[in-house]
Amino acid sequence: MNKLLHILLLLFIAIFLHAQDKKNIAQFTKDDVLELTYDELLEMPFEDVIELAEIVGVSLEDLIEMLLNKDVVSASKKIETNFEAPLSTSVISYDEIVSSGARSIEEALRLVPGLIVREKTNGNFDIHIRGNDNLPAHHLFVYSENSISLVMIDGRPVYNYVHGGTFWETLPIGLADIDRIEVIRGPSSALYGPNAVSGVVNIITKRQTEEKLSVTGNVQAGAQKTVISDFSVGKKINKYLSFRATSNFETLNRNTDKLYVHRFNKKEWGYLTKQQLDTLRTFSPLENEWFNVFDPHDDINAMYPSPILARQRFGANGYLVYRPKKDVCFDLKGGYQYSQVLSTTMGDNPTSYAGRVSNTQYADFVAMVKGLKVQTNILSGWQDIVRCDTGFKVDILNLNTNLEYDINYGNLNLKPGFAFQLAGYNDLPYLRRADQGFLNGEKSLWTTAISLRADYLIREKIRLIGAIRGEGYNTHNKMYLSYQSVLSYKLNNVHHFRIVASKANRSPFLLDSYADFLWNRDGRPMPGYIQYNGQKNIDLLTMRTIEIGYRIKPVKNVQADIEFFVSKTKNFGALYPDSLNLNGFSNASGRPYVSMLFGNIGLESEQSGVTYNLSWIPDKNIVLRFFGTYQQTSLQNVISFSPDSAIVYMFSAAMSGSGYSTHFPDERDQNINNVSTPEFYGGIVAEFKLFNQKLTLASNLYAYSKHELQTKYGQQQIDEKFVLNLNGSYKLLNNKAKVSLNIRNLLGKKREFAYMDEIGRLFLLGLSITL
Amino acid sequence: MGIKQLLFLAAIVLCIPRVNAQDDKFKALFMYNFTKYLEWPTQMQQGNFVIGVYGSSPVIAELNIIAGKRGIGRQKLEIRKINELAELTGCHIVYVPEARTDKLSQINKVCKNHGIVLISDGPGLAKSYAGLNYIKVNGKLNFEINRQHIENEGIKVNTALFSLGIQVDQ
Repeated sequence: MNKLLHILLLLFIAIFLHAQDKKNIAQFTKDDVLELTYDELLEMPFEDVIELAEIVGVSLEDLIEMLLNKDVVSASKKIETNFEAPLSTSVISYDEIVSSGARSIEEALRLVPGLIVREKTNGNFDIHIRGNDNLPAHHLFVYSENSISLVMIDGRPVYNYVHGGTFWETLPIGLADIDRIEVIRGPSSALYGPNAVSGVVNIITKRQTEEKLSVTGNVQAGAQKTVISDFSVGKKINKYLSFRATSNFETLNRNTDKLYVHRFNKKEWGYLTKQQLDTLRTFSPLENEWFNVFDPHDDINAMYPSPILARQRFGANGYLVYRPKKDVCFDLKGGYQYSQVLSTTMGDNPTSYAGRVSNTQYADFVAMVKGLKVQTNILSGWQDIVRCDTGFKVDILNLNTNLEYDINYGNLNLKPGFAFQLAGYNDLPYLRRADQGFLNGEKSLWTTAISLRADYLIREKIRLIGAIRGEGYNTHNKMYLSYQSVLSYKLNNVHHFRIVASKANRSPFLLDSYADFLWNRDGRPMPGYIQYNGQKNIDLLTMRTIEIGYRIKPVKNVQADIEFFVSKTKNFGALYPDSLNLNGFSNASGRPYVSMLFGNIGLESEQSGVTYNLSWIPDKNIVLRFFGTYQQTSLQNVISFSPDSAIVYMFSAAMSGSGYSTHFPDERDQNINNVSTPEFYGGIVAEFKLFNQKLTLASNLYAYSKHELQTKYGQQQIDEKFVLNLNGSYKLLNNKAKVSLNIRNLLGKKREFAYMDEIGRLFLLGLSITL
Repeated sequence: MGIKQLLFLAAIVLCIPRVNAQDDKFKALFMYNFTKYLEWPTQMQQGNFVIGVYGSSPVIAELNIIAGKRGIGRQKLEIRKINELAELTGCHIVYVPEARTDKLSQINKVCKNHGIVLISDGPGLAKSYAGLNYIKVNGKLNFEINRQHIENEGIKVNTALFSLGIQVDQ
């Protein structure tokens, strides 16, 4: 009996000691591990050695490698290092964004090579990849929007299909949601579908990795009544299931409450207050009557309820990840956003400014089972694209489904895919009369696509990639093909070369395809009526690009990338007058009538340029990066007059003829330099960590050369600008809290976008808490 | 080359970070531990147990420390620095450091059917040639296993190893 008791006691002690031992390993600090002798380490079971390796953690060498050469998934739809990525890619991590003091995703893109980022009003940005800005020129502001880059959140497109482009403020996420932002420069429709013409911005959200409940809160507040905040909570419930929930709120004021009014009736009006705007009246000698620069029904107070407010937004998001096996994962996301901004108008307003209000919700589900990936998402809600201007408010219902399957034969990876998209918009619920809108009811774009990507690795050095995607649209009879072919050669871990040939196209848009809007210009100068018409089967904008890229990593802490690109873009489209009738649309109306039709205009653009990026990490506490792009864009078949000038021309022709004209002026200019894209844009990023990494000082300089925005209202030069930002942060309370001082645009006030605000200095104080 | 360029190059060279010896130490320890989960054919369980390292690597020094303290079963542990492909045969394990992974396909050709476990060091290499491959997960050392590549060499793998690393040939 005693023996049995002894055995039990010994067993208990052994189990207890083993448990203590296990507990001790889990509690080891890095210093404890470093003190262990080889003899002790060799005695340990392998699982403990692995655990100790984790405690020792990231070596300095790895830290530098991680900073220099981040993982990227967007270039090949699989994880690879940026050094080996077959396309021109850049990645910025959450830590880099936060260190830089960037207030938003848009501003963070000033840290990325190859991007032109201009601030229109406080916190509202115009963003282009490589260029092709403002085409066609001498037209509405809507043509200055970037409609040829695809922005996605975890592969879900966040794109405006009404007239193309991205309303950045409508992204439901804030900085707290982000793990990293990946940018591909160059046509990528073969990988991501239409509109990935000049490139892709893929925002990758964070995954919950910590088992304990993690809570973070960040707030920045300061000048111009700026408050930017976000909050997140997350927990890994068990080995398979994790969740995160986030929210974000921000409000930013402009540094003026004035609105720019274009030259009108031979007078430069310039910046006026809302009150001045409302009373602005002039006399039309042509029509011999008084008129307001706004439409009679326009309510200035509803259109501009608070002209001082630049941007206000709120978003909330939930993330649920279930990963029962290594190769099986289900990922569900959902969220809501409300936003209002004052930025450039998308309409034809007397001022360059307009409000935009959005209220949307989304759900996104991704299932990955072995090689099969299915992603399906829905976005619904409403958007008032030109606040309280008739016809611009729409209900939205967007659906996307993508299926892809990975097949591996040795070194060959094949990825066949199928995609379906519905972009549905309806303006009817917001119209006073059923024929007053652009769409006058529910209109949709349906897209179906099949794709195949082949990726073949030869002798670990040579990679051949071919991707092709065929797309059909319900607005077009013919199918559109996009492709990407890559030959990359990794000589060794120091040199990597690539050559890429690709073609991509833009999708049709709602207004281009379906617009049917009669603008009764009662009380405004002639013409009395303008009819806007869309049409189907117009040729879609297409870009072809050839790129040659080279990456070099001469030593562990330096990496340089250089890419040369030549692209040719054709099939630009725009609204131009196609007929004018002095007698009106019915002879009874008696006021001149103009029909505007969306169609191809023959404009072609040829861009060539070079983008460089040099990253240097002289020490684990210092990160330096230099990047920039030099480019030239030559345009052919340029219409160098505005649609209004064309109307005047047609008016004269009609006057001298039968009162009806379809004679559009046929003058076209050749070999015109696109002055709207700066010849140089780039920046410098520097980050220093001091006092045992408690103090971080970050500075980034973003610069672009002089350029010009040409609109139908006139043209304005944008002088070269150096945007210098400084951000200092200090960690407190055992790294659980952080205080910061953030100075944006230190070098002072200058306009970055034509007819918009002069963007000045901004001081912000910040506090972050992590529990 | 001007003075400025020379200074710049010198600054870069001076700033090369010190290689973290802990990484090499744990790679050597992992290698020693792998042998506990692998069983070589009977004819290879005689004589010295040879770990060959292709080219220069600080891992060699760490392995030599282990070899001075431990053997593999009843076999004496011997560490060989391999300079030529012809020297690969006769090894039980061949480790190809990250800097030499460009030679992996040639090394694999020579090692094939000689009862050698090829251990490489770089993302994705277990899928192509290696039986075991060091990777970094969030900057921390881990390893991939390709069971097929190991078993093709007539070496048995204890299934317990799969729960410790990442199996890539499932």
